[in-house]
Amino acid sequence: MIQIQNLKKSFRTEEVETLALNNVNMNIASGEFAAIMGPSGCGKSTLLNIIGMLDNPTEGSYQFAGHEVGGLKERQRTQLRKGNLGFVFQSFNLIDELTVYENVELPLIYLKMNKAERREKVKVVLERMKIAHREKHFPQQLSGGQQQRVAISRAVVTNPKLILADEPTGNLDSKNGIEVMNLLTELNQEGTTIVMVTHSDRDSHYAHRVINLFDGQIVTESQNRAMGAML
Amino acid sequence: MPKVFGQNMRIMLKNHLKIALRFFLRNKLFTGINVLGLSIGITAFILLISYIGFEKSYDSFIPNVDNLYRVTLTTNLGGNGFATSATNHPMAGPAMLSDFPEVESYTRIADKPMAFSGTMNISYTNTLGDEIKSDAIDDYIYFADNAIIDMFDIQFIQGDAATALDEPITVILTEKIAHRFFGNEDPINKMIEINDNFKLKVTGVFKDRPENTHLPMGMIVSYNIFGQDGDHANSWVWPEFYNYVKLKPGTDPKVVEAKFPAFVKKYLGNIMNEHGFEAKFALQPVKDIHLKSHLLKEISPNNSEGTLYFLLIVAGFIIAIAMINFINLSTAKSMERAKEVGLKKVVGAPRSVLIHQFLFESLIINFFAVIISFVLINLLIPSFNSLVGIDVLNFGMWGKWQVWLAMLGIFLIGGILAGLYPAFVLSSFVPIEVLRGKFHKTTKGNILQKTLVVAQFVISIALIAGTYIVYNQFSYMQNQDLGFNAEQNLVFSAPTYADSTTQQKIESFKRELIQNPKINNVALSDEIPGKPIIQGNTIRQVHERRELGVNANFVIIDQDFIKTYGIKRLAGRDFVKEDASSLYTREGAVPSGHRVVINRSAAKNLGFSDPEAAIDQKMIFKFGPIDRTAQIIGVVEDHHQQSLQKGYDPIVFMHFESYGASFVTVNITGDNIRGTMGQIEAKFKEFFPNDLFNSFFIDDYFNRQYRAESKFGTICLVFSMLAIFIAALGLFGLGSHMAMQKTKEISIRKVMGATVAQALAIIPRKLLSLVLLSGAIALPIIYFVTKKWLEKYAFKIDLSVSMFLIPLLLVLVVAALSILSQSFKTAMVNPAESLRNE
Repeated sequence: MIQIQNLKKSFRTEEVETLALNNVNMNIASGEFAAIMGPSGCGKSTLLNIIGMLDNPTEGSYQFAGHEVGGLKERQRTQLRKGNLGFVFQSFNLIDELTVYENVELPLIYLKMNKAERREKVKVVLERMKIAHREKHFPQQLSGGQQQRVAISRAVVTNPKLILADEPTGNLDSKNGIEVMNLLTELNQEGTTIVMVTHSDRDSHYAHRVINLFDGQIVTESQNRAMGAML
Repeated sequence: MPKVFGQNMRIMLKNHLKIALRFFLRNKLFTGINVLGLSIGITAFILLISYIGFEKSYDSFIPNVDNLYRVTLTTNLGGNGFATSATNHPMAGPAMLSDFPEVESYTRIADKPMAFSGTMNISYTNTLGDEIKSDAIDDYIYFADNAIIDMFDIQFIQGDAATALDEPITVILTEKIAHRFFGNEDPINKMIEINDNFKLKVTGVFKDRPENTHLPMGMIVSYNIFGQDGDHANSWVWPEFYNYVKLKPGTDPKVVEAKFPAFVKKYLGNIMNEHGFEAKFALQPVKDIHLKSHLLKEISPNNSEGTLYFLLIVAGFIIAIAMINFINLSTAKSMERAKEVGLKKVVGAPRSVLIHQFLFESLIINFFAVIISFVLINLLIPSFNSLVGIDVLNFGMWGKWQVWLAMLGIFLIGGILAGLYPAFVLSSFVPIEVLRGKFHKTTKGNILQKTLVVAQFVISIALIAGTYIVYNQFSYMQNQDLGFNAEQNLVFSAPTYADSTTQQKIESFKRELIQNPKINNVALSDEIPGKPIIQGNTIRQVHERRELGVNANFVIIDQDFIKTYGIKRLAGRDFVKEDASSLYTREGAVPSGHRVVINRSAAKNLGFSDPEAAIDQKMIFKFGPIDRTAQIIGVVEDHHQQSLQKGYDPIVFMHFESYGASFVTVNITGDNIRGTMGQIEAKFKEFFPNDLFNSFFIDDYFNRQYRAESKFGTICLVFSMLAIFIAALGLFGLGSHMAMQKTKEISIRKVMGATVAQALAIIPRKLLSLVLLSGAIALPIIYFVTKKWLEKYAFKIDLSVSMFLIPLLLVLVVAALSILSQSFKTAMVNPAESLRNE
């Protein structure tokens, strides 16, 4: 699903140019659950943003489901992203002024889905995430775990092929963290590809494969056979 | 201890100043908007307040003005209910002096046309034999008793103020006018001539009068020019004289007024019984005349208190908008200052110090603003004076301590008022939360910000809608069909009456003009549209009782007037030359045999069911002391004699043999109007070498009536636009803040698949609800205010929905543009940047 070759990303400030990603090569197959790990500042989030088409690489090739994404304009990236990708963030990134229901509904609106259809899909996903009873609440009225369930609901409501999770348990206590990881695992078992950035060893064990990044380069990759052993 | 405190204070102030200046430099947009908005606000405020102060100061330069009163007359003569006139009978003043011990002195003042109908040319032949001639149109010529000099504090430079006007046929004049006629000669005891046949002796020269008076004076002729005791000029049958009395110090005017009913009965009782009307007298304080008096026959156009209150509100609004900007922007910026506040608190700064700091910053901003507005005011003095049409301001204003006090007051009050709320919000941050980065803006602050923004929108919408409606009314008045031909009618003063040949000369003059192919018609008249008609009295059908007479205005015209002005005929016929009759013959007044054309209103007031019904009927009109009978030969459509603020005048057109024209109107066609005008002037000079030729077009003359309105309209427009500009400035600043606040939401939406446009759409949506709410508050208010304002116009526009929707839309567009221009940058930013987890 994802094929990355010789990917480079550099940032320029007034005085220095920093190389955030250097010569990254990586393939992620459809249905895979991959974790990207590494210390702070190693380029994990940059990589995830490029995979998520929020950002363009400076050099190299990135193919998503056979489409070259590297040189696309923002509008084209938005088109490709829509409905194919779901995002889960560490700080949830819910819109404070919208209710739970409205937050989850948002991506469907931009897919120009009609109201009845949206209603149906949002209902199903909120039920599934066990947050339906809170649909009229605003994000600040929910606990962190609940907020992240809403964020995951929003990520999956379009039935995306790929979910990108940036430290999804970083702001949660361990109980809520485990719950979120279980949800992601469930989604993966149903066929959704998941790429997750994490600091947490525990979380990385949920993945099929762990990619270790250091100073913008992949240093090791390991297969997790023990997947599910922690469940 | 005090020394330490002093030192601490100094260090603290230095620290405050340093942080403030660095903050201002780093936030140039914020600082710029605040300083610019406040300085424009302060400038506009000071200018408007000065204007209001000037208008309020009318006649206050006269010592004892508190004891000066005008005696007004209210009657129901003419069957249209009671109406109050600024003028009164000539004997009112003298009788009051003899009957009321409270009265110290009186003066009667008569306007120029009371003594000289028709054109008035003043000339003086100097010692070199040169004749200096002037039509004295703008010279404010009055006739008055000598007491005017003391009562109105006329300051003599030459002559004897105690007696200058006691002798008959004397005149006193201002320095300026004296200089025009006499140059460096001594004017005292020189003779000036009116229309080459009437000589006045100059007995005094006085200082030019201040501009802020309801009674501007240029030349004053002795009152006894009207005759001696027993004449009409000293009677109870000619209520056309302004009577001013000076009461003894400490007199309550109510005491005098209480005596009026008996007084009126004593002097006017018989006349009232005979004519079947009632009369009342009242005292009107002179210092109130300019702003509060709106009577019939005002001596000069007055302003209204309402106008000043309106401008005062505008002035307040402007400065309020500027202050709201400051409060909103400072509060909005508080997010950025939170860290500084948190850290200062951690290292031990008490809240009071922080409050001082932010108040100090507010004062600095206000200080800059005051300095800039000082410069702006000085730059704007000439333009502002020409805008309001009076020299309200001059550089001498800076010599007055009140002005400095006002500036200081604005600086301190503005600085503290605007700084207080932001200071309290900023200083209230809890350090732990701030430093943890878990800082959220309070909903309370949000509500206040929204309230203030709504307040600005309300003010802006109200000002735009108000200005727009005022503008609509003015343009309606200027574009309305006036009922007469207002274009290409050139008017000039008719030649003065020289001798019995004048009438024949004017006829040949007319005949020669009409031979010019570019001249359609030439007409003579004693009135022209665009000025109040002076002559008037009651008229009635012959079978009606005398007391049922109705008021009508009399216009004396020749047989060409109605066609020259294109006034529409409704029934009967126009005058022909042979219709002319004589008012007087050697045997005396002529009571019958006259023919008149009346207009629709006059026919209606006389009781005719339709114009046709009036034709060939007889009516009685009072002209001079006696009743006369006339046959109605024609009825014409009403025309606008005066501005559309006034209704149609009922008019009786008369046609007399004797020469008494004030104006000649020439209807011109074709191009090269300037050339035709030149030919007319040459012809006039040929026939009347001793007369002055001063011409104007009737439409310009008519529109002069709207000078006060258009002045008011322009002032409103300029200051409303300033207010709106400042409000837009604030929105622009707030927009940049709002965009910053919405960065996260816009980014999230973009990640969720929104295009830039879709993500941006959230901002106008929020704005729309605020603008609609503001509209809901502002528009009903402005609806009632403008409806009330329009009531004073006899002819007015209908308020339409668009007059209210357009301002709403305009504010929405301005607000949306201000905010979107800022948000656009945000929306273009890569969402990954703003959503990064720090």
